[in-house]
Amino acid sequence: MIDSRKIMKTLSFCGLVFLGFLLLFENRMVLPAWLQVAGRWHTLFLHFPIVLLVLVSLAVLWNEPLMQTTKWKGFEALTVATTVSTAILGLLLSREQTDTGNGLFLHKWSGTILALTVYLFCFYRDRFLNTVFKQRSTVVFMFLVLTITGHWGGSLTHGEGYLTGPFETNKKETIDLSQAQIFKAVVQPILSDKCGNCHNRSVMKGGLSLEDSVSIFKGGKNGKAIVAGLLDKSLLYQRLVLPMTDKKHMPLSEKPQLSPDELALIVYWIKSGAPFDQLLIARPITDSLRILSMPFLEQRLKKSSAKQYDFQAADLDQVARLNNNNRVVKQLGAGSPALAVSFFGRTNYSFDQLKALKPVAKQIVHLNLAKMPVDNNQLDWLKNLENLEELNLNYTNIDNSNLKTLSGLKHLTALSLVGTKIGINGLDWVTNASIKSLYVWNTQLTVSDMKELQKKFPHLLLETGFQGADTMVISLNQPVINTVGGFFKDRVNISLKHVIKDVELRYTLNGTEPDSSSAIYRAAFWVDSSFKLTVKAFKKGWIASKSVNSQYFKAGLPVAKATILAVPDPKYALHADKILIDLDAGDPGDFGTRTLGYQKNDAVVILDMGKPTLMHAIKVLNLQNLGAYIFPPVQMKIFGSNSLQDWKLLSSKQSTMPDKLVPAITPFLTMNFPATTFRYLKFSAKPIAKLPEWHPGKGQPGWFFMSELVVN
Amino acid sequence: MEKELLERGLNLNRRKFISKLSLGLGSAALGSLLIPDLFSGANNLEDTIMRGLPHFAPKAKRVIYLFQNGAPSQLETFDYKPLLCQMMGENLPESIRGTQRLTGMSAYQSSFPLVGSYYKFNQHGKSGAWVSELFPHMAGIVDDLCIIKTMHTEAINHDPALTFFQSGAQQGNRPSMGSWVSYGLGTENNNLPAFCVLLSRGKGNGQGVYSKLWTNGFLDSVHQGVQFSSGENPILYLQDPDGMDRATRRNMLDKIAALNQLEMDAYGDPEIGAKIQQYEMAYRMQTAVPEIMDTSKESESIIKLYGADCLVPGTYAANCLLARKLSENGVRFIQLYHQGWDQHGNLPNEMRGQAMDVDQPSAALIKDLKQRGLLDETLVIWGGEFGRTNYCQGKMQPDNYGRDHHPRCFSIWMAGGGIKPGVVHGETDEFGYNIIKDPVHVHDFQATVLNLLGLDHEKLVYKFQGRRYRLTDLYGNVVNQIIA
Repeated sequence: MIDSRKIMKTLSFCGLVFLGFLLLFENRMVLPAWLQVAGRWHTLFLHFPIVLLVLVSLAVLWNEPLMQTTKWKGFEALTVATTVSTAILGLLLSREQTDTGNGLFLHKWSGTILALTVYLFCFYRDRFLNTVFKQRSTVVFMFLVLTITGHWGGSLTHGEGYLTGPFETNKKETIDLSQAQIFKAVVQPILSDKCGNCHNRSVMKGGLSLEDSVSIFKGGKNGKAIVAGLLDKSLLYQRLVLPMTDKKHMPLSEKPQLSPDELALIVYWIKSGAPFDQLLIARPITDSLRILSMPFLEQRLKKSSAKQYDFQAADLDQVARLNNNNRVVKQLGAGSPALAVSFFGRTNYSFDQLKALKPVAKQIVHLNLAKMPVDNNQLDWLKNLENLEELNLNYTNIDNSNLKTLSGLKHLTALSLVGTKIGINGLDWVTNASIKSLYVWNTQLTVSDMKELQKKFPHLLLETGFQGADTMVISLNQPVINTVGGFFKDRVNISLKHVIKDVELRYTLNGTEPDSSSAIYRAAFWVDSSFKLTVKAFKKGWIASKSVNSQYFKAGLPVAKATILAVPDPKYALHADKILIDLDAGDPGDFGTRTLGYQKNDAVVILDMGKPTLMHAIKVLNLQNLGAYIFPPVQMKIFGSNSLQDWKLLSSKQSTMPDKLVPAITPFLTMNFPATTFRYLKFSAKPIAKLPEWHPGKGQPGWFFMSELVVN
Repeated sequence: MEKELLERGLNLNRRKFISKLSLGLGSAALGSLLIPDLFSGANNLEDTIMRGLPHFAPKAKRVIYLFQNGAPSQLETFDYKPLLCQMMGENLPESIRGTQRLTGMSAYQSSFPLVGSYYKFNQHGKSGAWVSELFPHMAGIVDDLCIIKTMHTEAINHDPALTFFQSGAQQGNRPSMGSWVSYGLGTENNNLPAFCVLLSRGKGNGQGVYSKLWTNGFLDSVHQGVQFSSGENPILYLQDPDGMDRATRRNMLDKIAALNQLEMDAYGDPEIGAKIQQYEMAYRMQTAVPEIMDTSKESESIIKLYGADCLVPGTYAANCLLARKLSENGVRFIQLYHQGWDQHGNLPNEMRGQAMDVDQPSAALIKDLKQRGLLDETLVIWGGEFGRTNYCQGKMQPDNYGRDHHPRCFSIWMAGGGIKPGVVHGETDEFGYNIIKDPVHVHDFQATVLNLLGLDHEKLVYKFQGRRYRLTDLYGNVVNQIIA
């Protein structure tokens, strides 16, 4: 019968001898490829002995009877066999590794010790370890060696600190820009972040550590990591810029890569001679290395600069109770002890509301009292806010007399005094205060005061605001004509408006552009005949506005009824019977609802005056929008009659056609005829049949639009 | 026998079932140990949101978002591309366009002739940023701005793109950015809504804005944006009817609130709670709003700063002035929309008009906030929903051309509230078509805005219909490089 335990024991023994041999002659060995492959199985195989060893340890510690069974002895033998073979594979693999750090050394030897210990324990414990205590102690020792071996092995494959990585929170660090050394502040963080796991003093893959200047210059197995100033001789650089697909590219393709900015920094650092102790600010301000470094430092500063307060938080329920519709008290952020307070609603403010903040006075760091009726006496109370950093007193009732009391606020950095009666004399205390920003726009301070103040305290961020109102000359906007243009019966009331105060509105009634000699508008006025109103706004220190105009038409004789003989185009025929005599002038842009439109046929309308009436003229309000194909009529005719028969031609008129595109207008076309008495008038107009050559729609038929007929 | 066998089988199944169940439950319980807040009663985050607190100390307390609706061309504003002028009329190389989909408006053009800016560019300020001559006032404050040239988005049409910017999704019905901020931070001034909306319209080709853009979506209705109109009553139905005094109104509201409370106790519908709060807010707004809308006390220097139009209600200038006043009074998020930036044709002419509308007031807003000491705590954003193509849409003439929609790169600027001033972020290629450095996706932009307000975009979540929603959906990285 084959005793498998014996076979394994023998094999393990052979293995141990082989292991010793490998250890002694490792430097002289040349591994064939198939052994390399075998060695690479180490990282898989190692899991078996770990599990088996743990089981053996458990049995030794808690289940002695089990250990006496034959099957268990076979199990132990298997443990030894896998442990030894894993150690052998490990040694084979170590020939491939280029690490020269302590980690590999420790892993190798602790693994060997483990294999030997396990072998002796399992096959010879009855001879050497005759008490349970001795056996158990050995197992504990074995377990420790296993742990150590495993740890160093893990560090080799995953990088150092892999296990404890998640515990490392963002450590607060403070960086003083004036003291920042190029290597320590900028280059080292990149190297340790992206390369440090494999290239440190204890792992040193490829024999390279990037932890300090000495080892960086020393380089690794393949040569020097950097040669100051020479990119093409610096292996570090060359490995970084190899294509990702290249096996030698660093960092390994599955690991986090350097960002383009980080790479640029390394490049410029090597190019600039790889300085180590040089201060960043010692380099010229235009230096690429310095320029590139600044964002990095700022990023790191930012991470560490969240302001910490060392005072206790106030009772949150009390904070909640202090809130009402006029007073808002809130933590700066979740978990922050600091409070920000704002007041709103001037009419509801009282000093007592401020004084009620006493219980949380210590915690208030921002206070906004803008627009509240805060007076000089109340400023004294602000001294209670010992940690106040930002104070907004814009548009409060304070002046010079008591502002100095704020010098007691030792942490005050920003003070806003916009729109108050503060003058230069109230600010002499700013010298020795902590204030960094001061807002003094729209106060008693003159421009020269501000200049003086800035000269005195060059470090003060003095916000002086917009001062150019007197010299800045811009256009006024157009006035507003309140009275809607169009027809009126007897007289019309004209009223004008402008949004800006104290503006002079000048107007004309004859269509000419108003100038400085035109009539000034003071109050609404009446006009009783047709006119075109043109208004323009003037004000000192401003450019006069563009003019605005509106037309007013006095209605003619009352027309009893208008009958449309020739139908307009159905699209533009709304309210056809009323539209011509409804005293609504229409809108040049609004054809269709207030106008009648003709294209295919002539417009023919009969006006019934109700009774025979003396007439001498007719006016047609029409729309001319050439871009929209709406032209004046080619020809207009007017007939008179008393019986709807025997029409007598009173007048005929040809229009002069425009010869270029002009903006849309709504002019009157007037036709005079000898004064005659008639009851009926017939008006006809012919739309243009072919648009002229210059028009984009040349040759196509044009339109005639009319909105009102006025008699006399 | 058969019966016994069956019963035995069933018994076994039951026993198996129960023993397996216990194992399964045990494993599930073990797994649950890894979810920290699963069984803890009070959720810290919810507590934070209930108190209206930022997750960490904010850099900005308020936002004014000057949305340029219709998408202003980056090539005539901040992204200077001299190559386009040199290659005027040449076809856009295939290699540059790649697989970019085009809108139906220019996809079927026979060629894509490159067209350079009609307007000249100059460098301004200490930062040396390039700004087109259309924006002399903005150029004057360029050292206060952070210009992002590498915004990019996923949508190619106005409504989805705009909705995407506002709500983080193209389809709509999700809460608007302002609503999220209102939800996360609460209102600062209890007498005013946390989220206000102001509309204006330029003469250029316009695109609509709809109230869905300032919707609260699935959030509580109190977070909805309140639109201020330009008429005599900026907020409709806010004024008491003639003959009603404050005491009567108060009395009425108290009675209604009592009735609503009864209903609330009976049904527990949060919408009723929102209604009670809204009535109370409206009552307080009755005094607060007229005070803010009153521009008669603004000094001449302020009027000159913003331009004379700032006193004409409904103009962009008036809205900028109003935005400053609302912000000063503690409104968290003020959303302006200026319509008319959709220049498919007639671009040089229309853009001049649009620029006239917005240049001076936008710059004035920055200056005004700054002189009041408010710029440090107020984030101002200027920009559209996407960019415009570097090739001409329609007929090309030296002084008249159009540009189609372009999602791959466009420029916006941010200023104040924790933003690094005087910075130009990102680079596009020399054709102004693709981003070559530091892209900023819409979700990144949203994450950054929330971050400046002290909100972690991954933690500002709301659970609705079984899914947790965020403004940034599943994406977004804070752009740390532009944060001061």
